Amino acid sequence: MKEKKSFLIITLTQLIFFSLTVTYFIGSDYLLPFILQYFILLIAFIFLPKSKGFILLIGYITLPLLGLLFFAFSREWNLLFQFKIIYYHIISIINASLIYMSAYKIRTLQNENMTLNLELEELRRYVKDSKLLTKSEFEQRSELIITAMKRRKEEGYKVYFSLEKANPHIQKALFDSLTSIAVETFRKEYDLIGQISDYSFVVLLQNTNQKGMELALNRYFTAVERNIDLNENKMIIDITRVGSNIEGEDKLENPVFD
Amino acid sequence: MKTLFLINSLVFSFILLYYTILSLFGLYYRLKKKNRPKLANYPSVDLLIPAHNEGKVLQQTLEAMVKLDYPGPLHIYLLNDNSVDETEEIAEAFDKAYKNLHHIRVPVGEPKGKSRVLNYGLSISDSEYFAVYDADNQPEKESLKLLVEAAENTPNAAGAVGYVKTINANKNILTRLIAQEFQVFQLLMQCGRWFLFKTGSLTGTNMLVKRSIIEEVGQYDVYAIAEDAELTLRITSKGKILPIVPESVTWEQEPEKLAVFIKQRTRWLQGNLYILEKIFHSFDYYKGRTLVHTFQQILIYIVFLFFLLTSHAWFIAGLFGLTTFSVKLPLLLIWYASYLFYVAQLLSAQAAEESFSPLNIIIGFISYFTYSQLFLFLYFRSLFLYLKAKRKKQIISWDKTLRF
Repeated sequence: MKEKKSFLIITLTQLIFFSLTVTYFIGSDYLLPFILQYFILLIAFIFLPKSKGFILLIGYITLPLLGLLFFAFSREWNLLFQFKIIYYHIISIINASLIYMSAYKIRTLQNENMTLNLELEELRRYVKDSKLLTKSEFEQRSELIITAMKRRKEEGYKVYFSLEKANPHIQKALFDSLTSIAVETFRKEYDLIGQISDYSFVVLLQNTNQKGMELALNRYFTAVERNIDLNENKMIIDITRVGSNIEGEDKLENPVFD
Repeated sequence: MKTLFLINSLVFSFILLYYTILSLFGLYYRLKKKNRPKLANYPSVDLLIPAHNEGKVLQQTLEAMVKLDYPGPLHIYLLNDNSVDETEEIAEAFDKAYKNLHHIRVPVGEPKGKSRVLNYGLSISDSEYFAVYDADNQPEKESLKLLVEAAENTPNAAGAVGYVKTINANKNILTRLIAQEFQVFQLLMQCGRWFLFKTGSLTGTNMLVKRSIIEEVGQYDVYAIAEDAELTLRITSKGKILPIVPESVTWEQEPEKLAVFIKQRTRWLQGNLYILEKIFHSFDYYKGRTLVHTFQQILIYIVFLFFLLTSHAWFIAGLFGLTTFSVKLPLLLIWYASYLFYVAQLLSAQAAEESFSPLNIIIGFISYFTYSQLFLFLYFRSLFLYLKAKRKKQIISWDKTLRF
């Protein structure tokens, strides 16, 4: 809404300034060259991509000045004439900037709307940039999956990882490293990973038995140990069995790293 | 006298032309889509982070470092230069947690400063490439990979240079001004020089260098305060090039207080004066691409300064009615063009970085009358301190920038 309003203001300003320019600001001698420039810029900005359009705008503002400087030196322009030239130049660049702004505001609005919709959709599902599901999204999805697993008489595991007891200096770094490896390792297998709190996360391994769960975790820890010394970090792991023949969650004996 | 002013005006116009062309090509290069092929094998990289009392920022720095997405062998060396704050504790915690992050205690030594620490880092590491990041930097995940890809894909490259963005840009007016300056001078000018002359300058952080080059040109000069610029000259004099990779981004904290800013810039300018002194003592700096860097140094620190002073003196003399002659020169138009070029550069940088905001645009317009005018003060402060140290045969101390 705010963006639409600003687009409207820019377009109106552009039209008003153009009208004032042709009626009051410039003399009749310069009218035709000005109108020609105006429409050439308008067409160029409509067809050029935003970045090239901006280079054109900067070129339009700066390059003629070099020519003006050349003439000013060679023809020894007096102060009054320099003022007049500067005045015309300012009028031209304000007009050009307004055309640029209004031409690209429409595209920006369209792109922003598309991007915002996509980002909103992502944010609803994932914790920003991490590809981890938010707690609520994880709960919602895991509930559906567990119900389906029960119906199909399959079992699965929820593995909780907590870094609450790790050194506070490295908690965040470790959390980011461990979750990023978890996303790489488990999401390929269509398992779910969700963030529970700032320093804990959970993985739902679906349709697997204890041996499969252990294999998956071993694969994960092998990847983790390439860069991280798990023995040096107090990571707590809780494993619960879910799915077929289990009411709620069945907690297993937990390995604890410390 | 009239001839002097004619020369003055022409030189200013020439500088304007030069920087306009640089900016336009820099903007083009910055916005151009680049196709950098992935590598079949990524070479080994040692990442060096010199740190002296960096407890305030180090945790975030190391968090960003361990997140770097680099497909090849990577070792991170936190070079702890006798810190007495939390640096030791944080570095030790990361060292224990991450197998490829090493907390290295640098032995006490003279002269103090980044160069000596980096030389020590080079002596204890052995990768094909080394990268340098300041201890307050938070590189983006892909930054190192992009630097390596650029260095490997560019024939005759000695390394690659990324872009430094200001993490606290919105903190206050000063940080906004610094951020804009970085956007223009680091980004547009660097990109422009790379595009036109195939010359890039090391920026001290977010930079990558081949170890074999260091073996060829020698280690960091421990007396150089602007060690990056000094090394750039030696690398370029060997005919090697440093591609600019604006997509490789690191975020850095900039001074939030004027006093800290003045101290930091005085150090940088003293570093540049040291380089100027070197330039005047050897003909090696006037050959091939090195000439572009030499020309740049001389243009800014001598030519521009001289004509700026003349112009200021003339303006002040005019105000007090002390000028007794008149010349027919388009001075108003030159001034208008200078101002407009300056503002256009700032706005171009804002556009390239998509950092347009009403406040940033206003700052772009007032920066010329405020921030830029500090240059003269900083220059003479640095020159005074530099000459004082020379006269007393002292080593210029390496003042660390205060973190916030």
